[in-house]
Amino acid sequence: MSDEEIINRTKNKEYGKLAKHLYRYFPVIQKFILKNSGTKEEAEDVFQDALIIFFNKVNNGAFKLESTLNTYLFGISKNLWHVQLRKRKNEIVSDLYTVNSASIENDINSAIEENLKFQKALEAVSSLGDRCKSLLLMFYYKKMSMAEIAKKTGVSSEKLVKNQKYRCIEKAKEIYSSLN
Amino acid sequence: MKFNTEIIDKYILNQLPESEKNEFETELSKNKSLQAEVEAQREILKGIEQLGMRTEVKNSIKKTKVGKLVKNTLSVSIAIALVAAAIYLVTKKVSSKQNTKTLYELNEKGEGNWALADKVLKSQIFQIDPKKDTIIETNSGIIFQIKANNFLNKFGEVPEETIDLEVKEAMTASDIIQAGLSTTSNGELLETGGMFYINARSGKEVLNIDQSKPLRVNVPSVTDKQMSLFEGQRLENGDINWINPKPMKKQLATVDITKLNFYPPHFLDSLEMMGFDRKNKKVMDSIYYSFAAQSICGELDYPVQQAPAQQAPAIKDSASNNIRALTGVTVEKKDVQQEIISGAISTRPALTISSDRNSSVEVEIDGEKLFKRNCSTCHIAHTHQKLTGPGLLGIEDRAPKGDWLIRYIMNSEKLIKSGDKYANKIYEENGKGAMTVFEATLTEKDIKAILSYIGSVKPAKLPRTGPSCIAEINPSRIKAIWDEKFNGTILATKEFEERMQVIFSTCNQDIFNLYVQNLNSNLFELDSIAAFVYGGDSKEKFIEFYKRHDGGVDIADDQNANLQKYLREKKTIYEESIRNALNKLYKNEADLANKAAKNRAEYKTELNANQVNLLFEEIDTNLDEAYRQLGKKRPTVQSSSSFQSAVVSNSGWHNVDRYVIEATVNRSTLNYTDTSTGKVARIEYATTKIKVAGYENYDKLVCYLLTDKLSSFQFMKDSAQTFTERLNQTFANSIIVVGYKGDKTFYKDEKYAKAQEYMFDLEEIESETLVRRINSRYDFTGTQNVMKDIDFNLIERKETIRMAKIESREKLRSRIFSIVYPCKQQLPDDVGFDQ
Repeated sequence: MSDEEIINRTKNKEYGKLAKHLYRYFPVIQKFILKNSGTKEEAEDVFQDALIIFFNKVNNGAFKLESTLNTYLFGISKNLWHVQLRKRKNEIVSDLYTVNSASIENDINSAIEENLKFQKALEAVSSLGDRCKSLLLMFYYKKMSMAEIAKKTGVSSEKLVKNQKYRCIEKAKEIYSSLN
Repeated sequence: MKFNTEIIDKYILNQLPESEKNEFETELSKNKSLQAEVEAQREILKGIEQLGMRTEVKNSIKKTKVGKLVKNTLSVSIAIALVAAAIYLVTKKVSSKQNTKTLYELNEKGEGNWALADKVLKSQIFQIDPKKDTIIETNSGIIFQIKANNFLNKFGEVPEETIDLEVKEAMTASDIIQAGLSTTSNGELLETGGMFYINARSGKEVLNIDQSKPLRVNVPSVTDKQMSLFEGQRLENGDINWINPKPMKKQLATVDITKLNFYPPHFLDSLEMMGFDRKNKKVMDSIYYSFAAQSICGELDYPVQQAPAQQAPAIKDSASNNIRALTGVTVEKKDVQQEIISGAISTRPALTISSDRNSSVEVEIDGEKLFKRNCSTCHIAHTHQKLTGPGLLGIEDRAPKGDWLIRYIMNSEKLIKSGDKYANKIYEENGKGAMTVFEATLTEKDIKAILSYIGSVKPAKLPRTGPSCIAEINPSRIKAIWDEKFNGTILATKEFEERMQVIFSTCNQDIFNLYVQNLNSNLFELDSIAAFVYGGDSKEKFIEFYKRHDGGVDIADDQNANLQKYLREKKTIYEESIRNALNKLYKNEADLANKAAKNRAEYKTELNANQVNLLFEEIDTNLDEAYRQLGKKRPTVQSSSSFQSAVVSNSGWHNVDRYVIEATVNRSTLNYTDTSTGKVARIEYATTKIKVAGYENYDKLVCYLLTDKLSSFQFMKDSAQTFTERLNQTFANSIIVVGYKGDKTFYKDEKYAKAQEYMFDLEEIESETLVRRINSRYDFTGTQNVMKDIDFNLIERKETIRMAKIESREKLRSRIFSIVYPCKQQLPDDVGFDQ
């Protein structure tokens, strides 16, 4: 899969397949994070965030890859980890991997920044109950029909599902507005 | 119009009808709070998008991660398709619906997409009571083991009603191809061992497997390679991608333990060659278990290796004590076992008892034979161990010097009565049991030969003649596990049967215990421990076993504990009961042999006396006859040798007496002419010969000469297969021949035997009938003695047969011994026996 194809498939929202494919870049990132006071779990979280940032960047405006995707993802991960370490204080980051050009660094930083705007909504939705979350995901993310959702969740009528869905959205809005 | 969440949602999703949309937009343009509301709702939808993305990425990475790790460690994986989730076994199939394609509208995910495989493969439906443990076996032999309460509905509850368990399987290449199942995992090709689908429903509702209680599945293995179980992931295009492999362990299939072979290697083959029926487990068991007492160090009261008549080995011998002292080895090694299990490996000191087979002892063969025939019933030559009589090791050193031993052996009673101090001491020490008098049966030369034999046998020779103590796999341990109680454990598997053969060859009780005491472990784990602990020749074999990765058999902790308790109890009980039984047997045999020897000695003494008397009787009778023929009255003197001086004083008749005595002793015809009267005294002896047809076929032939004049019988001399005797023609002579063959008796007689040659063809006759017939045919005074002698011979025959049986049994035992205890050197075939 070429980097270009990956970008195209990102626009098609084939996130799962892509994540699997891009997992090949993970070992380098993991090595870096393990060398710099991180754990394997933290490395996974960082890698995942990096993928999300990349996907969002592609889907939210003109994205132009100026390096290889590998370099790009590594750059994001490295920056994310820098932030983490700064929060922990006293941790010194190895500069061994800082080989990216300034323009790439800028791209990376803007991508990370842009991604922050989703944080509040994500937090609101994430703090919903499991039932609400899965219901909303089925409808809005997986684009399932009300009938399918009713069947899958074992709810007797579509109407009940619909009502439940709206209640979930209202709840999310409530949480959203309470966050600042 | 009320602008609630629903309207906003529809507006954002562009689902409002045109009129409503316009109305909404008009309102939106002027209503700030509605604007905020719509904006917030848009944000929420973005949040949902982000969450969905994250969830998808996270799940994808998680699965990829596992796949990668496993792929790195397994070069070949075998796909076992598991669509819903997987597990273990089943007893009976309740129904199998044929030719149904997809029975249900929704798949295990509650979705409507079915793969080609779902449509092509037949469903097998098992109806299961959800609250009971169930084992099901599918058409192709996949076994699912389902525990009670294994399936839960969407509320996390166990369904009340019967569950339909749907299984589809594609275990052959053609099934797989027909079903269009892929054999790739993330694009990599798998070597498949078959695929199956399983899904449980209560009514139409799809049930979940309780994650704390995964099902177990046993798949028939097509290969020894390590297989993995892959989960099937439905792809949108209807394909199934195999992901998330889990290594499978080979769950062992248990069989009826009593049908397995836990005998040592070659045991059955060897016994079969010896003429036993290997299928007769009762007999095989009794032979095998009889060796259980063999390996108990220092605990036996009776030697078990040999028949009493050939008593030789002593279990409580100094050699084995020395070995124990040197090595500190005791029979029980529980502690060591525990350590092995906990991982701290401790090896026991190697126990090697060297068997000095090359040091053949130079003995005069006569002495050894004589010892075994006459002494071994009551004495052991090699040790101080007491049987009926004391052990004879070092007897010549401790007994008084000179000819004391010879005199004592000849007639101990006489020596004791004479007040001999040492003789009386021995008498007291041995429970005032008198020793057999051997005067009549043994010569001084014989006794010297025996003593030289005893002196030549050294205690160091013991391992050659019998095991001292053995720390190998004891048959009693096998008996304890070879029991239905162990059905359903790792022991009741073909795999363990195979290992057992190797365990035998290690001769290491600890390795046996390792397997037996860890029923809840996987065989391959135990193999690895065995390979590690045991450094011997079999190490490689255990490593091979380990590589097969044979699993275990699930067993509840309490069942394991119960079985271990049972084992500990049985082990001791079996050992003791077998040892007791053997001791009893040998004691019984020793008693019988003692009794027979005593009878034999008594009878022989009596017989000897009879035969001596008989000569005097005949002389006496002949004298009477001679005087009668000469017409003279016989002087009233006894013709006993002790009265010879009195006879000599009567010079006139001296010659006659001497002639008669000479003639009688030589059994030659007396032809005496009285010089004073011219009368002749003639007592003719003429030769009679008896030949017996098939002489060599009889175990024993006795030819009695019975006369009307004498009080007992006389044996006809056997020379060159012909019974020959010169018969006194003044007597009425009868000849009786009795033959013995096995436990059968044969007989032929000639009531009026003449001076000629007879050919006897003996007839078989019941021994009781024989005695009765002789009694009725002959009213001579000697008849009683003939009957007595026949009785004696019958008893002796039985005794001989009994001893022969014991002998062959012990010979057999000594051959089997090396099979049961393969690490001991083979006992020489001639141990204790010489034929």
